[in-house]
Amino acid sequence: MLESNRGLSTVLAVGVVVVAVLGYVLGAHSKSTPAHDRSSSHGELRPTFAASVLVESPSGWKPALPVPAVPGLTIIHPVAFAPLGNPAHAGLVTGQLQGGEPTPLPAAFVAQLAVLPETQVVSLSQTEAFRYSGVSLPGFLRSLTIFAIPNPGSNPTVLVCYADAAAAADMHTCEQIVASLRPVGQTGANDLTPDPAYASSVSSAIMTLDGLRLTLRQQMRLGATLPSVQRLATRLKDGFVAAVASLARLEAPVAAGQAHAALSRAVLGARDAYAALAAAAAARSLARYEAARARVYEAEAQVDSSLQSFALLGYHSL
Amino acid sequence: MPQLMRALRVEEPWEGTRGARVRLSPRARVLAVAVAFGVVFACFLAIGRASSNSSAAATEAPPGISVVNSSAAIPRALVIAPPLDTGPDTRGAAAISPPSAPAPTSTRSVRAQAPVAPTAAVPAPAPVRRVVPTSPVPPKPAATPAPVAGGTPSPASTTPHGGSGSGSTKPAGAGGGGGAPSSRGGGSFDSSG
Repeated sequence: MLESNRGLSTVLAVGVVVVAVLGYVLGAHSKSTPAHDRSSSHGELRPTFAASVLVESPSGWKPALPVPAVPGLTIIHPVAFAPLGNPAHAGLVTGQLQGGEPTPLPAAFVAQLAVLPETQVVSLSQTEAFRYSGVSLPGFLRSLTIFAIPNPGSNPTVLVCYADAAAAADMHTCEQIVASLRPVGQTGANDLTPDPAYASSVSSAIMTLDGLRLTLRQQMRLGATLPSVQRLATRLKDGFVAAVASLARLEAPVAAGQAHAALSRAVLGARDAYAALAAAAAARSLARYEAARARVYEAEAQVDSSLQSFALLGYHSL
Repeated sequence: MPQLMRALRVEEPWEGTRGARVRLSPRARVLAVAVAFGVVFACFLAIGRASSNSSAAATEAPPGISVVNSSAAIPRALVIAPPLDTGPDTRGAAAISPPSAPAPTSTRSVRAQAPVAPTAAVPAPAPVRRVVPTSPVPPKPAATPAPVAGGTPSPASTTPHGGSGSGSTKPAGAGGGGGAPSSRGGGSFDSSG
């Protein structure tokens, strides 16, 4: 009798554990189910054509007017969706961005950000995209996550998810809508992954240049006589020439093509600026020297800006 | 109530015994176990949902979006370099010729504030001093923060004006050398050729 009770207790204990584990797993799984299965709270998913993409949105998300504006982000042919069609607290804005920039995000938009957003290359249902999270816009008191899909030969497609702090669940739903995205009339992007070999080569060129630049700039500061400035500036110019040559030998990935070109242009600009500085020192003209000095600063800032572009293409910082 | 009593087989306490003894029928036992299992299941289901929800950080990609990992890294900026001087010394060379539109001042002494590149940060303000005889101050390009001009209007003056920091070591020696640093204090330039 005693053994019988003990056996029954063991079975019950095992049963409780099994049920507990089952409950936990199911609970955790229900939160990580893909968008297709997560629409119960908003109704059935339905395909919706917006701009140049097709997305599956819950029936609770409806087209919203007016389309909310994101400060500094000019979206061409914008379309908005929001819970119950009310864009006041959360929503999705999609459309296209003006192309021709080193990164999908416009430089003017990036310039107003206090910090660069966290950039990830993500894989959606039928295309890859850049995902910019933690976007902090002055005066825009909402969570903001931007998805950008470069389109070779065309404008990038953009999808902006935003939500108030109290509408975090809607942000989640918005991103799941984005996950269902299918490009229409476009090939999409499937090669956005940063190339480590390319990154290594660029880094090598820049670090070589930087080593020389730091040394010569220190010498230029400590011994800033006219002849020394002329000589050191000329050597710096040669350093930038070598960097340009190194960059020219590289074949940039498609996604980084514009950024690579911008970096090459910036380095060329710095080369010219140091050449001008050397020439000003040779001419012993203070006015020319001052102008060349300002030009050097501008050119180097441009190089910095070009390097920063790679961060928005998913390249990590060294 | 009698039916429930029958199902649970609750026996009336015997005289002198403490409390009631509840003896469950097999059916009731199964029912109780099932209810207990259901409660445990519901509790852990809720725990699973809660823990899954809280673990999803704001920057994480949601389900349905997979992140492509890459180790590719590129510097985000050039390293911070010492600022360029506001005007090269004239040692070993003829003086810098003045701009075409001369200003009233014939001597310029520039004080401590290091010029700052438009975007690149520059290290701590360094004492930068230049004396450029017969050289009026030309208007600075708008994009470059101009050092503040000021100081003693003496052509011979080579006294640095304030400041400290990385640029406090001053060059010595003449000619257009590489600018070997001098350990001499004061930060002035030799005027010898």
